[in-house]
Order: sequence, then C-alpha cells, then structure tokens
Amino acid sequence: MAENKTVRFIITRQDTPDSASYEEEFVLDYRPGMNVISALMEIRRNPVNAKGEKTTPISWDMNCLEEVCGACSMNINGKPRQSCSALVDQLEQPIRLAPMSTFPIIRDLQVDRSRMFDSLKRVKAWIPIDGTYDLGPGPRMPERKRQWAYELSKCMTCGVCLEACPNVNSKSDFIGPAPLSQVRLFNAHPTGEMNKAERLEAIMGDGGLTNCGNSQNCVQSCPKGIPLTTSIAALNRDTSIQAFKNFFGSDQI
Amino acid sequence: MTLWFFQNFFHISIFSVSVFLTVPLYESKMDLSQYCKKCLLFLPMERLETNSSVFDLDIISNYQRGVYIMAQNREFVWRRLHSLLGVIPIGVFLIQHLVVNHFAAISEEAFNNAAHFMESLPFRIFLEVFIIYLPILFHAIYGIYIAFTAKNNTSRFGYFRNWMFKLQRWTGVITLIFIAWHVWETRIAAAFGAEVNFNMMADILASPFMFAFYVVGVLSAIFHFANGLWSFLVSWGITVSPRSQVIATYFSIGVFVIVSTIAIRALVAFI
Repeated sequence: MAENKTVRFIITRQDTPDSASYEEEFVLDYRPGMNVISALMEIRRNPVNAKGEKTTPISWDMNCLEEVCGACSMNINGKPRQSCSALVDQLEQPIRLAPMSTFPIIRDLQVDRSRMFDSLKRVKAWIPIDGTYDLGPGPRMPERKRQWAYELSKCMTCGVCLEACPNVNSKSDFIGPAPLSQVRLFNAHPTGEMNKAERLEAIMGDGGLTNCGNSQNCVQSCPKGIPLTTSIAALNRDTSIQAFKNFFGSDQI
Repeated sequence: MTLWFFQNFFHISIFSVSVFLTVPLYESKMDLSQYCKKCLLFLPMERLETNSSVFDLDIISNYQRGVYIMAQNREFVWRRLHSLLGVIPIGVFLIQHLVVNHFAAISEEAFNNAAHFMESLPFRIFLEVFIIYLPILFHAIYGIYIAFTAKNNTSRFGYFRNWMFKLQRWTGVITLIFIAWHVWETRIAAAFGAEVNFNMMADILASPFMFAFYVVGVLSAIFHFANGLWSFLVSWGITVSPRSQVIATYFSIGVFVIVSTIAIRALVAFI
C-alpha cells in the first residue's frame, strides 16, 4: 500500500509581480522524510498539476537548506516559516503554500525582501572600524555578553516577523522587529556601542521603533527564537533616555 | 416594546448610525491612515519616504538637515505623547470620574453633593480644557490613525497579546463613540442649561438600551485603560524582561476587575 500514499499541495501562484494570483493543486507520491522544498523540486522535475495538465514549474527562493539563510520563507498552512525545515510528515494535508503577503511578489512563492536590507542600512546595522590609519584592537567583549549577543545575531532576515506583525503592512512605514533587534545587537558590542546614539536616532525616525503595537506575534513566530519583544522593550528604554539627552542636553552624544 | 422604541428613537438612530459608519470604516481597506498622517505631521507625503537617509544628502546645509531630522522625528514624539496622555491625565481622570460616580452607590444625596463639589471647582473651564478635552481629543485622533494603520491578523495568529492588540484598537473606537455620546448628553446638555445630577443619570439609564450602551462603553473604556497601562509600561521601557511583562499583565487584569466593579456598582445604583 505504501506506493499509493500521496501528498496533496495547494499552491498560491502568481505569474508576474502585477498579475492576479490563483491556486493550483498538485498531488505527489509520498517519500519518507520529504520536506516542502523536496516536494517543490519534485514538481519542478515534472510540472504536472492534480488535473494532469502540464504547467510551469513553481518559482521559489532557497539557498542553504538548513534554516540559516532565511531565503525560503513562505506561508505554510497559514503560518510563515522556512520551507526547508517544514517536514511533510508534520504538516496537515492538503498543504497550503502561499508567498509572504507583506513583501512584493516576484513570482509564485518568490518574494522581494529588499525592504529589510534597506532597513538594516537605515539603522546602521554594522560596526564602523575603518580609519585613515590602523585604529588598533577594539575593547574586549566579556564572554558572557558574547554568548548573550550570539542569540540576537542568529537573525537571518527571513521576514517571518514582518509577515506576522499586524503593524507591518501597506498602510504603514514600520520597518518591523528584525532590524530593531539588530540595533540592540550592535549597540551591545563594545566597539559598536561607540555609535549607539546614531542607531537610536535612526530608529526614532518615522516608521521606526514607536510603530510597535505590542501584539508580540514576532517573538511567537521567530524561527530562531530571538527575544524580539525584549529587544523592542529594551530599545524603548534606550530611546527614552536618548530622547531625554537630546532634549535637555548632555555632554555625551 | 414599540413604545419604548419610539421613546428612544433618537438615541437608537444616533447609535446605529455611528456604529454602522464606524465598524465598516474600521474593517475596510480605506486608506484613512495616510490622510490622517498627512494632517498630523503637517508634511507633504514625499518627505516620509522610508528608505531615504538624511545623512546621504551631503549638499543640504546643517540647518536644513536639522529641520529635516526634526520633521522625521515627529512620529516618535507623537507616539510617546499619545502613550503618556492615555495614563496622565486621561487615566487619572477616568479613575477620579468613576470614583465620584460611586457616590451614587451610597445615596442620591451623596452623589449630588459630590457632583456639585466637582462642578464648583475653581478655574473649572481651564481644568476641563487642559486635563480632559485637549488630551482626549489628541489621544482620540491620533488613536484612530494608529487603529487604522493596523491590519489585524488574530485569525492567523491567535496569541493572547495579539488579541489584546486587536481589542485595544476596538475598545478605543467603541470608547470614542461612547464618550462623544456621553459628553453630548451630559456636559453639552449642561452648557445649554440642563442640571447634571442623580435624576439626569437615572432618566438616561432608565432605558434598557441606554443602560446596555453605558455598560459596554464604560467597560471598553476601562479595558482600554487597563491594557493601555500595560503597553505604557513597555513603550517607555519600564517592563523589559518577559517576566516583568507577565506580572504587568496580571496587574492590568487586576486594575480592570477592580475599576469595573466600581463603575458597574455606580451604574446599577442609578436604576
């Protein structure tokens, strides 16, 4: 009987960035240990839908296949997650795949996450170490703090938190939880801390930190278990202090 | 029933119109948010481009850069002001109002004395304008903008906090409708010569429809305050750790229960 076992997929497809979306159903032979990506590869090998009609292969993004690059995020049975780590055995059938609606759709399940990378540039999510001469080694980072910061550094810009957030949508400029948490990461670094005020002022701009409405969907959805809402609350405190310094004046920047 | 309907025809029509106008407006895809934003920020929309960084623009003068940064920072100030005003003075006023109402649960005379005392406070109009009208007006208008920029998704993400997020926006809109009606019926009526006393409220609440409307309105105001207190603590960076946020949730539930008991006892005392 095992050879008759099948898996059903209902996939939301879209041919061009501007065209209307439609659903297409696929039935595949079950293979032990298969995940959503291996199923999509199977469809690519033989692009025939459930009605037996020949169709175009499905377009999707992927890279590392081990849940560290963040490229293959999509809505699987309504929840945004990485398709590489979505095991068919653990999913309810029919398995519904849809692109993350927060992002512009390129084609089928492939979305354009550039806004996240633009936000990282905007909040200066890096540590400036270049000078016109050798600046020497920076201050040391305590090991305990490094371990703590490592958790924040797991962010792979996958977009799941933006998809889950009710305040990230076409009506708002909110940059979303991921880039905010990166500000906390870089402000915690002993060298990065030297530019703390710049980053805080960036997230105090429009579309920044205050757009958070505390629905806390992000922390529930993050595949890497990053304490996003703790980061946001901590940044709320930092920006309160920064705003106080900016308004009343202080010798520090 | 028919008689009751005609007696309350005015109430019912105003109520229905406001509900039928507001609810679809709230759930619709109408982009009021951008309009509100334009009004609130007094800025042309093209200056609100998310991805433009003022630090990239080397040609503009420091003065221009300063003006630009100030303009860009307005949202932070408005949001924090919105959060602060919800607690001080609006939250404090809400508690004070409900506590004064509670005199009705003691006796008619006690309520009338308390209401008279509040009425005869010196500089009353200034107290009203700066502690009540202006803060509530700002909180309401900016609050509608906030509510309209959200896209509720509790059906996909049914987590507790997400429900609180949705209810906070819903109760805000309900409270606004209720307060508008309540101010019209009491304060504005008083400005036209009506006397605000026990009998006035007893007359209003004699109608079962208005009683239900008051219960819903008052409970949503208290919910909005209690849950707003929780988000106030997060927004200002007071409760940062998950544990402190959980304890703040229990605290806000306690506030809701206690203040609601005070409010409902007062309402029931009028009938």
